[in-house]
Amino acid sequence: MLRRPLSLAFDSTPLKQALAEISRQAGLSLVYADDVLPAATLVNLRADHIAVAAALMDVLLDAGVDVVFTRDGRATLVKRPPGPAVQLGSIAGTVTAAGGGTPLPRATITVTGTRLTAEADAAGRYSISSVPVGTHRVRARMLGYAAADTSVVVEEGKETVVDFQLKAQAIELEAVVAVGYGEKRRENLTGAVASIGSEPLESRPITNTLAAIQGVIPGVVVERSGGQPGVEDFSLDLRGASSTNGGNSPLVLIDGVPGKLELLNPADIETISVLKDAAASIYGARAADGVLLVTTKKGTRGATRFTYSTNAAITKLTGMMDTPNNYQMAIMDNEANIHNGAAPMYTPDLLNRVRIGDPTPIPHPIYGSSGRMLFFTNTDWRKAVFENGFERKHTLTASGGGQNSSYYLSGDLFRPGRRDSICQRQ
Amino acid sequence: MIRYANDNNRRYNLRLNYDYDFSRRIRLESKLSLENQDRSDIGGLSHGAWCSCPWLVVEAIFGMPNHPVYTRSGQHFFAQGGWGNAVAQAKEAATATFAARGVNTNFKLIVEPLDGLKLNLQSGINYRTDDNTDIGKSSPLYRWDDSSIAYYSIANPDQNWVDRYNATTRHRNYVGYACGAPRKLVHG
Repeated sequence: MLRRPLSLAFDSTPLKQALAEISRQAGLSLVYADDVLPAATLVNLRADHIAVAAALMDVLLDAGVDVVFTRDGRATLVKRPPGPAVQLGSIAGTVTAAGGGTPLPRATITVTGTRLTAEADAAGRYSISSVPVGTHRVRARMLGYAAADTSVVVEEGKETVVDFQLKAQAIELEAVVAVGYGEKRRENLTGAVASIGSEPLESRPITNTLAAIQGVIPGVVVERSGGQPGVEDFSLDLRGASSTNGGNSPLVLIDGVPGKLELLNPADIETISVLKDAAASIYGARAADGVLLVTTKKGTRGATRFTYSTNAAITKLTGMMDTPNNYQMAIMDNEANIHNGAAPMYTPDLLNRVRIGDPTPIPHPIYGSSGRMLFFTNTDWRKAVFENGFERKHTLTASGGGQNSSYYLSGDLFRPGRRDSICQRQ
Repeated sequence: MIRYANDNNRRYNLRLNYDYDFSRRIRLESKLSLENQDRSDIGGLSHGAWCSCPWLVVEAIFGMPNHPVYTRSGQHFFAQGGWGNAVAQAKEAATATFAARGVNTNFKLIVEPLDGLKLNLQSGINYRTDDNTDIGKSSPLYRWDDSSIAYYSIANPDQNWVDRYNATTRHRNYVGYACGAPRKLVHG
């Protein structure tokens, strides 16, 4: 019963009411005297599939009561016997922005590993009382600033002063996203525009841009129907099937000019924005299936910076089903003949010759008149035809610039080794 | 992936992106890229309607385990009963070549006559050539005792073929537009 999952949503709910709900959902009979529970205690707990025992522990943590279970499935709440007195102290201080010293109201300060927390006031001041004596880590955080934490020693009956200075930290809202004929700050975007930077493209060993964006951009479906380098036959789908006999591919603009992604070096891409909604209409009828805006990298002003990356990979056919060898096929051939009411073709002697791989064939017992032979050797055609491939990719870039100019120069060589088509059923 | 296949595949890219600020209000962005892909393949590959992979791959997967690759004398065995010989197809086929080359230029002049108002003039020219040659070449297969020759799977001697594809594509794109952005609001 104690492991039965419950779904609970308590927001400042009186403890008594919370216990009644747990009791109802768990089918548990809870017995307690009214004076056992602190009347003013409010409970906050939101959880799905939380066990009964865990829920009781959570709501009763600060109530000073214990739960005693009886064999008949009842639970009794009793007052926790007073333990040794806990020595307490307090922590107080201010939270300000690094540099200017501006107070940071509403910054959150927590004592790590406890429920003790406080919020800074308008002057950036905070105070946390009833902190157990000992060494604690205290953490301050605020949206738009890097979190900071420090170690403090709390002494009995004393106030330990801890001041925090938080450094401003750029957050994702500041990012600029390419949209039709321009750019917008991400915080001002209201349309259905997805975008990715170069990180997801560089973090995977991908040699082709279309393969690089596969599964990376929400709403963009990239499918490949072949594995042959150069003819993977990628299909790009953004707005779903809008035509039964025409193309459904979005308009691809590379730095504002229509282009193809197949031959583009993925290492050159700075960002990709995907216009899924009416924002694409600025490009007219060509954008009926959405728009992909690809922006290539720009140079970074300053001294020339070189980067080199290389990737080597072994390619292997996967998902191949097992096929029978000669002996297994001979057994199956016999079974087929038996089911068909015919005599098995492979006699025990022939089966034995298959088993040992006799290199001397005989005229086929059934089709021998047409010149066919019966062989006892075994051929693994896949081993005879396929082998693992090996591919290498080298990328060298240089970036720099002066006061008025910047440049980005890149070279890329992709060299897939022995390979050919990989079968993929359509 | 396939043994014996020609191993001469490469793709290379070169790119130069260069930006120059003539003044605080006039900027030129230029991009030049070269793309080259050379691919070679087993020539004359065809495939069935149910699968995009060539028959060669199908034959390798479904090849009869009791059929040898070579005859007694070392010739390619004629796989009896309607089966092909995938090794023979891979070794004997001619090499098909597929070459794609592209040059892309992109120049953009950005003038900002007023704060927040940008006039953009852009010219983008893409030039691409494709040069493909695919060859279907016959290859003989032999019975076990070399008593007869058969031609199978790729092409019969009287059905050799060459498929050439050459294309030159030029896309010229000229765009001019103005865009404005409100000055950044300062939140109190």
